[in-house]
Amino acid sequence: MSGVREVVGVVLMLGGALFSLLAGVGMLRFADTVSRLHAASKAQTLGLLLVLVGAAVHEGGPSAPPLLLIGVFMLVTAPVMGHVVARIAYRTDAVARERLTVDQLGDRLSRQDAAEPPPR
Amino acid sequence: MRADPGDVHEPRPDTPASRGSVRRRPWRYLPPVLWLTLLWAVLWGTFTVPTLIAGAVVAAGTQAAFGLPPRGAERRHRLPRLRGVVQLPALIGYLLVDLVVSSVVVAREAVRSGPRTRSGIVEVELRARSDAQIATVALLTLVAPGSLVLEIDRERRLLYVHALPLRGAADAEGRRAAVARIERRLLAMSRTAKKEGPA
Repeated sequence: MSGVREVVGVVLMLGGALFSLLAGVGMLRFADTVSRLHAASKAQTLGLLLVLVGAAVHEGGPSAPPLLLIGVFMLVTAPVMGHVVARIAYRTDAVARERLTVDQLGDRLSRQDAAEPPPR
Repeated sequence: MRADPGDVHEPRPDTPASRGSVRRRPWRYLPPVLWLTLLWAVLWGTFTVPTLIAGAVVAAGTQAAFGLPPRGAERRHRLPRLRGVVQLPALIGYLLVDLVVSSVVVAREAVRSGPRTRSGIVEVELRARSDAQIATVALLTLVAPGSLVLEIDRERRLLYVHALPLRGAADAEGRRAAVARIERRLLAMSRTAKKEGPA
């Protein structure tokens, strides 16, 4: 029984490591800040989550609940960080606009600029 | 879940009703205090009486200093309680599947296209009305890789979502549908949204 748990835990941790690696590849290869955030705050979220769940399964017992709590906190906080950084990145022109197929926020802001000064 | 990312940008003035409510309605703060005490004990890894007492003191202090203001007029639009418990596992399952699928998609884009990846910013209209609901929809949208909420327009109830990969109009439509699906599931969990129907 403990053998099964060990295998499942190791597989999950290796899967998590793989996703973290892919997130790193994304960080290096994507074109602009906002695209890199997708890799940094998202693909990496799954990677770390898998490592945590894998560790919890592997260790079991009393060390599992804190590990899972860390996962939950990360799921709740990482997106907020991503949102704030992305918002600032967009407003400071750290976006490769020529790579955007649609930009409805840009459309909206330029419409606003034409009609009235920006609200904030 | 009650944290509202929108408030980072547009702080609302404190209403008179939200002040001094710890003294008038202390029971409102009981659930967060209990939850924080439990959290404290779990993180310490021991469920002994001294730990629990210390946790309760810290929890009460935190709530007294940083407690969220009551939602007041928004009570009608509050997030689901009992009804939602049944649908919650389905929503979590859907989000986990979405997390894995879109992680794979983003990872494949990173390896294959790299700097040539196309992305786009899509405007999504929300049916959710209260701040709490809009915040939750935004948060759930943010959890999935490949979608990043750039801007929340609370007054017009619009989300601006940066999506990756996004190659054309069909993809943009798909993104809108994905946010709408999450929102529909969330609204189905709260009683009042059903009576109100679509905005």
